[in-house]
Amino acid sequence: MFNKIINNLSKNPDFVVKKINIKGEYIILLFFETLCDTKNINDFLLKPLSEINNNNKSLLFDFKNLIEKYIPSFKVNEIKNYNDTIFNLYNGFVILFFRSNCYSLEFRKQLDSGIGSSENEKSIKGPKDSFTENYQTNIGLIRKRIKNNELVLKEIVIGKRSNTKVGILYVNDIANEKLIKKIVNKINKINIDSIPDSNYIYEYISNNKSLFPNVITTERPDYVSYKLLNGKICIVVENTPSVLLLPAFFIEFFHTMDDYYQNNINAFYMRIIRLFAFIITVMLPGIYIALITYNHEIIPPSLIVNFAMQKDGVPFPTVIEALVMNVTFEILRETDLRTPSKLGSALSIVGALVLGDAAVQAGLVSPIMVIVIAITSISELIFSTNEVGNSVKIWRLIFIAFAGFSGILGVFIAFILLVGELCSINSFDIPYMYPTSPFNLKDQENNIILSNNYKMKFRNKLTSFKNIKRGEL
Amino acid sequence: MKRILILLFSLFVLTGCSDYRELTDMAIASSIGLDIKDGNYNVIVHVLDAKKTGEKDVSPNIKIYESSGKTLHEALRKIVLESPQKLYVGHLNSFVISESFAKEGISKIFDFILRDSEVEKSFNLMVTKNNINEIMNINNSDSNVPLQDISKSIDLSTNIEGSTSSITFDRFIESVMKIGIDPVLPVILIKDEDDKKTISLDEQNAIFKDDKLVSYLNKDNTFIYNLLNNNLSSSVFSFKCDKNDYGSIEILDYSSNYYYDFDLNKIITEVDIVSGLSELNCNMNIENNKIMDEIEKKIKNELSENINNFFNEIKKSESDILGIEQYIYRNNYLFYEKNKNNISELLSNSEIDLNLNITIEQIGSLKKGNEKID
Repeated sequence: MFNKIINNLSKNPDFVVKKINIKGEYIILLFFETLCDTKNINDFLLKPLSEINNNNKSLLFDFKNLIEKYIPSFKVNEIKNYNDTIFNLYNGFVILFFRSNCYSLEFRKQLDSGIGSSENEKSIKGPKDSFTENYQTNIGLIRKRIKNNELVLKEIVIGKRSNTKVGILYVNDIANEKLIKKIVNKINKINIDSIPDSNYIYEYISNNKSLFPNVITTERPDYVSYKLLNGKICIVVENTPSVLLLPAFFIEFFHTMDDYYQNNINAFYMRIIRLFAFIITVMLPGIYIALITYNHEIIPPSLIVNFAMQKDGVPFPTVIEALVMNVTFEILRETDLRTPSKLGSALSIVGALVLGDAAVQAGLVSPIMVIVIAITSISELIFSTNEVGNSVKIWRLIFIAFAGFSGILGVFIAFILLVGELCSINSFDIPYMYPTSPFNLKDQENNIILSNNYKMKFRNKLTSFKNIKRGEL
Repeated sequence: MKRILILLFSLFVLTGCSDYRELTDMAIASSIGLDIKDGNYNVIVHVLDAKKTGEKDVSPNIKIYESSGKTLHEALRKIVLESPQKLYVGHLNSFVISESFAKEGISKIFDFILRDSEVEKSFNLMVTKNNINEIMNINNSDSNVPLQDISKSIDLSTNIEGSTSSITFDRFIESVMKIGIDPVLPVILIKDEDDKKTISLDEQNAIFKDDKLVSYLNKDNTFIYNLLNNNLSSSVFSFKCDKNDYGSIEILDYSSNYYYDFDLNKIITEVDIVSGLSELNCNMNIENNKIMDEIEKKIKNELSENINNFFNEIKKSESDILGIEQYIYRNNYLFYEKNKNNISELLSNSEIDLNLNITIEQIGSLKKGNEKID
């Protein structure tokens, strides 16, 4: 076994083979210096071993006993086969060979940046910590919020080459076992070399053909723990801070964790604003085009002249104008995302000048179109989840196309298609639009409005039907 | 799925953007003036000018186009000969009719406006005694869109002042078509002051019999007409408080109602007014209840005199702007059938029974008449 390991791994420059001579006998240490903390190996492994040299040779006869007694390491395993050795090596363990015995000791190096505050889902009030790339830390962040033995972690290793750990967390007496079984089965069947991000898991387990996501992706442990207690299932994947929560309802993309940390009426007001922003960001350019090019009678008389004056001198049809502006904005946004932050300010100056002022001055676009696209694009930013924002972009184009071909009638057709799509989504056997459709009076209390009763006493009826009262174990 | 795709594709291709029209290709008509001479429709159109003037001025100006044709539609279409854009009448604000045309009967414009789906139906109708060409060609810097301003002031006057009575086209048609009620139209004229011509409201209002102009109603009578028809939301009524001086009340809340008594041939009118004393230029101590009663009595007398004058005026003209005939038609059809031919005679002989109630609720902080002088 030893020779096999050496043969396979000695190609790697960071693979260390260290022989220590203790009174004529060799102890061989194998580890990756990139994965292990070499200072700790020096202090807590080499030093005690060299002290043995001086003290008592007879200890060597009971080597296992020696390691357990004298070497300060928590995880000590005896290893029997080759595969285990390789797995342990790659997880930052040091392998000790002595005579025919083989042991592994954990000397893992801290390879992530530590717990920082969430970048994508910001909150004003409440916990600021967020998930990291470290799997253990992520599980720990959830566990420290639910200190209850009903919180179950199922661990599956997938990825033929990456051997990525995937943890499925749920609260046993709340979550739906059937769904858990189904998901575990699906994850077990995954056949791939590596899992770079949790989205891979999402695409394997969901059969969602729609543009809208049917899982929630989050980096906030407080949100995850809240949702776990509402009967959701959480999937933590090694090496990524984005954690999946499923099943998801559409309305949950309009809720934030901040809603639960403040006055209910504020939350209600903000939810209405978010829904309104969603409608604006999807429909506004379409409606504007429809009004300007087909249904002039809907515009108030005092406004129509204003519109006409703004549009005067612009040579392009309104639809082309809208598409050009939309695409320009998307380009700006995309470049802003990808450029190093030092270049960002230069970019935004150029963007603002080109889009906001110069284009209007040159008579290429009308000022109203700039306003429309600006409002639309700003409204899109209310979604912290990238997937919703992306699907909104596509739907906006659909609305523009329909409006460009048949005016307000087309907007209505597109709206019917949108509602049809949303209602046809099935998030892991649970209706996406719940509790609006199918309608449930009890769960309306956490739909658009948020009631104290709901916040304090009850869970979602559909996902946590087993145990609906929050106060009962 | 295939079917849906084909359906969507055909929606795009087959409909082919029907009705597509950019805002910049439209001449948005704001008001139309119409006169008919020898069967020829002379049309003058105010088009809102949407050209940027270079300055940052966003309020629109108007362009004036003239044309004529054998029908209204032809005349309106012929504006293309002068204008680079097609006329759009979906946001028409006002329609001015010359007095001579109004006397002939204005039903000739009904057909086009009712038949064409694009035309706005709720524009303001008004009559002018001046030449239509002259009044439509007034375009000075005082107001950018003169007729739009005038129709706003007609609406305001109807609501809070009472000396004009605005009417929109749809309501006009309604009262022409319905049995036993006739419309009243506001009149505009050219005001010539210091060689500067402006459009203003006339003190008279035109009474129509069906679609023909028959006579005029003066300012006070129009006030009563608006009062009886509940058109006012608030108004000011001034009265004589002693020999030389006047006071006025503001009508805060009122309700009025009139109906016809079939047996006694009486028109019964009920008016309840709640008002506030807004001005009193006589030296009176209104803390004294007797004096208050006296004031109320004075107002009552003056108002009832006005109402009686109004009814006398109406009896003289053959048109029925209050719709008493309609009341009869609706409430007692047999009676209507029996007296169908002599109903106007019947009404002109009818008595007026007036129940007028005026209460003054607010008198302000000046209580004793001589406070002002001290």
